[in-house]
Amino acid sequence: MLELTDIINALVLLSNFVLIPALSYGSQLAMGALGITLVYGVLRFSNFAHGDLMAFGTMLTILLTWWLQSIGISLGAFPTALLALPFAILGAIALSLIFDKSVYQFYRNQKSSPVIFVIVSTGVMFMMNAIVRLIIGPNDQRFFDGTKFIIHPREFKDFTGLSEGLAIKSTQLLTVVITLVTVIALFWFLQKTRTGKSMRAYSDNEDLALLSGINPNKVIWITWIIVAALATTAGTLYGLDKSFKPFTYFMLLLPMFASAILGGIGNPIGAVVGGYVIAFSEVLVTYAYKKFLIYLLPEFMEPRGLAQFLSTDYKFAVSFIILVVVLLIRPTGIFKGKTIR
Amino acid sequence: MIYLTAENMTGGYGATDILNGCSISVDRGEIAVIVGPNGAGKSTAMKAMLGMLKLRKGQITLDNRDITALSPQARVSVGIAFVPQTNNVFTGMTVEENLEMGAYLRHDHNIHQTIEEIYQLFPILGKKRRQNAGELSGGQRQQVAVGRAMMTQPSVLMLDEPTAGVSPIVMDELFDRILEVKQTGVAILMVEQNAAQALNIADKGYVLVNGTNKHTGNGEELLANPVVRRTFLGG
Amino acid sequence: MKNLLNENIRAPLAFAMMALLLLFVGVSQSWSVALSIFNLCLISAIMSLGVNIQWGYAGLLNLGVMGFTALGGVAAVLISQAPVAEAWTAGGQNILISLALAIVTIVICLQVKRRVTNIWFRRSALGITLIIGYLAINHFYAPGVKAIEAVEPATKGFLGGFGLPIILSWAVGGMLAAAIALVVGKITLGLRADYLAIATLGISEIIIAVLKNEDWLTRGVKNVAGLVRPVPYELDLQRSAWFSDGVRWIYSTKLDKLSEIGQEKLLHDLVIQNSSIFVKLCYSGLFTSVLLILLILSIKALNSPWGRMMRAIRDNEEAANAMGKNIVKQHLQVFILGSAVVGIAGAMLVTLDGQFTPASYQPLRFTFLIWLMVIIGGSGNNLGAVFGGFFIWFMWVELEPLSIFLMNLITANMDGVSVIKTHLINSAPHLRLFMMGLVLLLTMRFMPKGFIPEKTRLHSIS
Repeated sequence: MLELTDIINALVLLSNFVLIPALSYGSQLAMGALGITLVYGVLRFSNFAHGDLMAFGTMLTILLTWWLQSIGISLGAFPTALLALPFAILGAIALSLIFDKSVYQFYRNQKSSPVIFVIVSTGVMFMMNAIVRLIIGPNDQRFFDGTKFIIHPREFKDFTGLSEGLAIKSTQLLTVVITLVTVIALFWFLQKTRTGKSMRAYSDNEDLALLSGINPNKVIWITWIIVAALATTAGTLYGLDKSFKPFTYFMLLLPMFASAILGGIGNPIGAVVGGYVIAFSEVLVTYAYKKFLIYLLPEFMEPRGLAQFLSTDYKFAVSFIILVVVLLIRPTGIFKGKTIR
Repeated sequence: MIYLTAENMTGGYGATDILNGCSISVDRGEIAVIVGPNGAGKSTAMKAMLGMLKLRKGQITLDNRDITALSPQARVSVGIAFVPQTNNVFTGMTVEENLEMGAYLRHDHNIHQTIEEIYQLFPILGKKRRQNAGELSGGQRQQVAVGRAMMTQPSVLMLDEPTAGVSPIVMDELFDRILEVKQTGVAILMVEQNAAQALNIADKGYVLVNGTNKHTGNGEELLANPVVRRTFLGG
Repeated sequence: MKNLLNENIRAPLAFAMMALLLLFVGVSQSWSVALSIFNLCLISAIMSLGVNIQWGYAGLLNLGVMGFTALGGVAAVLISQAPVAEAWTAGGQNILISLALAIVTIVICLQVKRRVTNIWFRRSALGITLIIGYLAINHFYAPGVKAIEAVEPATKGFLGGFGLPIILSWAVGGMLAAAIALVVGKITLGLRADYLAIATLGISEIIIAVLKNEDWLTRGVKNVAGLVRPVPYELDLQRSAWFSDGVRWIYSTKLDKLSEIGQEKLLHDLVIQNSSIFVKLCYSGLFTSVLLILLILSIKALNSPWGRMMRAIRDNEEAANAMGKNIVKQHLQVFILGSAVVGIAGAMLVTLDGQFTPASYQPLRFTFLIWLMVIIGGSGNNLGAVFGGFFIWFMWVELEPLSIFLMNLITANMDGVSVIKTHLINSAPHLRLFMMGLVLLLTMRFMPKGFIPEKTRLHSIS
C-alpha cells in the first residue's frame, strides 16, 4: 500500500533535487538571458561576449569580496559578495561602455550586418576572456561566506521525522529573491518610465524613434548599463551558488541563448520564462528518478537502473535540443520576439 | 513670406540630382499637396524639407528663419512634424505610449492635455488607448501615426502618402481628419498617390516632373487643367 | 612602400614572410621545433580552407568547427585501431540492434511527418514514436554499453575499429564530417545567420559531450593512445642501417674531422636528432600534398560557375532568390563541403598526435582560432585562408614564449618574491588570447577583407 509518508518523502526528494535547484538555476539563466535579449532588442545583434561579461563582473565581485574579507568587513549571515556587487557592477558597466565606444559604435555607424557584429563580439569575447584569465586565472574560485543553509537537511529530518532531508541553501533563496526584485524593477522601468519607454520605442522602430527626438546614444548607454548590471548580478549569484570558473561562464552562453530565443529574442518576459523552462528541462531530464520511484511504486515495479533519461553530461544537449525545436517550429519563440515590449 | 518656403531645391543621394530647382511652400491653415508620376521626386522633395537629404542648392525657411542647415531632429524641435509612409507607429507599444513617445522632446507638464486633444480629434484612438498599435487596422494605425506627429504641437505637419494601402472609405475619413487638423492652424504638406482625391481637399497643388515644378495652382485649378487631368489623374 | 601594399604582390609577400619566420625559428630555436610548427600550420591551413568555403564563398557562420574536427579524429581512431573481439561478443550485438532501432525510429518519424497532415495528430504520433523508440533503444543499448566497457577497462573497454592504415581515415574523416554536416545542415540552414552560429556552436558542444561520455565508441575521456603512424617510427629509423648511412653521408665533412670515438658519439646523436626531423619531414610531405590538392580544388571550385553563383548568392540573397536559385540547397552543399575539409584536417591532426583526447577539444582553440585564421587571411580568398592558417598558428605557438618574455621584462624591476610578479608570469599564456582578440578587432576595423583580400570582380548569376 502507498503510505502518506512515502508520498511526502518523494515530494521532499523532488523539491530537494529538482524544484529548488532548477528554480535557482532558472533565475540565474533568466537574468543572463535578459541581458542577451536587451542587447539583441536595442543593439540588434547576438552578443557572444555576454558569458564573458558575466565572468568579468563576477571576477570583480570576487576580488572586492576578498579585499573586504581581508580588512575584516563582512555582512554576517549574508555573503560579503553582496556588499561588493554594486561596485563590481560599476566596473562591468565601465568595461561595457569602453567596448561599445571603441568597437561596436563603429559598426553601428556603418550599419553593418548582424553577422559582422557576431564576429566582432567574438573578438570582444576573446579579450574579456583573456582579461579575466590574466587577472584571476582559469581555475575554480569560491567566495561564499555567511550562513550556508536556511533549512538544513539534518534538522529538517529531525524536525519532521521524514527519512528525506530538505535543504534550502541561502544562496538559492538569495538568487530567487534578488531575481524577483530585479525583474520587477526592470519591468517597471521599461513599462512606466519615460526612459524605459524610449528604450522600447527605439527597439521597436529605430527610425521613428529618431524622428520623435529620442537620443539613440542615450538609449544605447542605458542598455549597456542595465545589461552589465544584470550580467554581473547573474554571474555573482551563479558563482555563489556553485563556483566561479571562467570557462563555465563562457559555456553558459548556450543555455542563455536558448532561453532568450525560446522566449522570443528581444522580449524580456520571454527571456525570463525561457530561463525557467530551460533550467527545469535540464534538471528534469537529467535527474535520476530511481529513489523517487521507489517511494511511489510497489516493490515489483521498482526500476532496476537509475531511471534517468539522459546522463548529466548531456545537460547542454537538452537546452540545445529545445533551442533547435523552437527554431524549427516557432522561430519567434513563445512570446513573439524581436522588440522589447 | 509664406510660413514654410522651400526655394530652388537641388540635390540627390548620389552623383545625379533628383531635385532640379523645385520650389514648394505652404502657409498655416493650408493644405498643400505634391503629386506627380513615379520617380518625379515627390518624396525626395519632402525629405529635403525635413532635412533628410543634403541640398546642393536652395533654401528653406520657416517663419522667415533659415532652417536649411538644421538636422531632422532640430527641425522637429522647431515645429515640423513628419508622418512616414510605412513603419510609422511603434507596433509593440500601446496607442497612448505611441502618443507619449511623440511628445518625447517636450518637457512641459501639459502632455496629457495634448493627448486628450488628440483623442478628441481621433475618437477611435481614445477607445483603444490601451491597445498595442500593431493590433489596429490600417486606417487606425495611420491615425495613431498622425496623432504621434501632432504630439509635438507642430506648426507644420508633413505626411508621406498617408492613404497608401487603405480602403477608399478609410481614406475619406482620414482626409476629413486632416481637414480638422488644418482648422487648428497647422500648415499641412502631403505627398499623395491618390492625386484626384487629395487635390479635392488641397488649397494648393504642386505637380512635379523630373524634380521640377511642372504645374502649380490651387486644387480646383489643377483638377480642371486638361493637361494635368490627362497625364496624372487618369482622364 | 606603396607597392608593398599592392594587392597582387601581397600573396607572395605574405608567404615569403611566413617562410622567413619559420626559417628564423629553425635557426634560432631548432629545426625540429620549426618543423613541428610547420606541420600544424599545414593542418590549420586546411581547416581554414574548410571554414573559408563556408564563410568566404557563401557567408555561412559556422561556429561548430570544433565538432567537425573531432569527428575527423573519431575516424582516425575507428579506422586505425584493431577491433576488440571480446567487446564485440560482449555487447556488439546490442549496440548494432539499438543502432538499427534508432534508424527505424527516425524513418518512422520522417514518414509520420510526411504523411500525417493533422497537426495535433502528427505531433502526438511523433511524441509516442520517440518515447517508444527511446525505451526500446535503451533496453538494448544500456546493457550493451555496460558489457563493452567492462572488457579490460584499463586498456580497452571499447569496440575498437577496423585495424586499417590510418591514412585511410583522412578520407573517412571527411566523409563522416560530411554525413553529420548533412544532418546538421538540414536542421539549421535556413536560419538567420546569427541563429546558425548559435546552433552550430551548440552542436559542436554536443558532439564533444558524446565523445567524452560514450566510452564504448572511443573510450571517452580515457583517451585512445598509440595510434599506428603512417610514417616510420624514430626508434626503427635509429636501428636501421640505411638511415645511419644516410646521416653519415650528409654529415661526412663534419664527421671526418673527428677521431673514431668522437665520430661514433656524434653520429649517434645526429641519428637520434635526425630521426625525429625525418619523421616530421615525412608528415610535412603528406600534409603538403593534401593541402595542395585541396587548395587547387578550392581555387578551381571558386572560379567555376558554381563558385560564381555561390558568391552571387552571398552578396545578394534576395536577387538570387528572385532568380529562382534554391539558396538553402546551395548552402547545404557548401556547408557539407566545408565541414568535410575540416573533418579531413581533424583526422590528420589525430594522426600527427598519435592519440585521441576528447577533453583537448576547446572551442577557443578549435573554433574561434580557425575563424581568426580565415578573417585575418582574407575571407573568400583561398590563398588568404591558407596564409591565415599559417600565420595565426605560428603566432599562437610563438606568442606564448613571447608573452612570458614580455612579462619577464615588465616584472624585471619588481621584487623577486613579489606575489604579483609570479602571478603575472604564470598568467602570461593568457596574454595571447588578449592579443588574438585585439588582432581580430583591428583586422575587422582596418582591414576587413583580410591580408590577402578576395579579388573583387563582377559576378553574375548564370
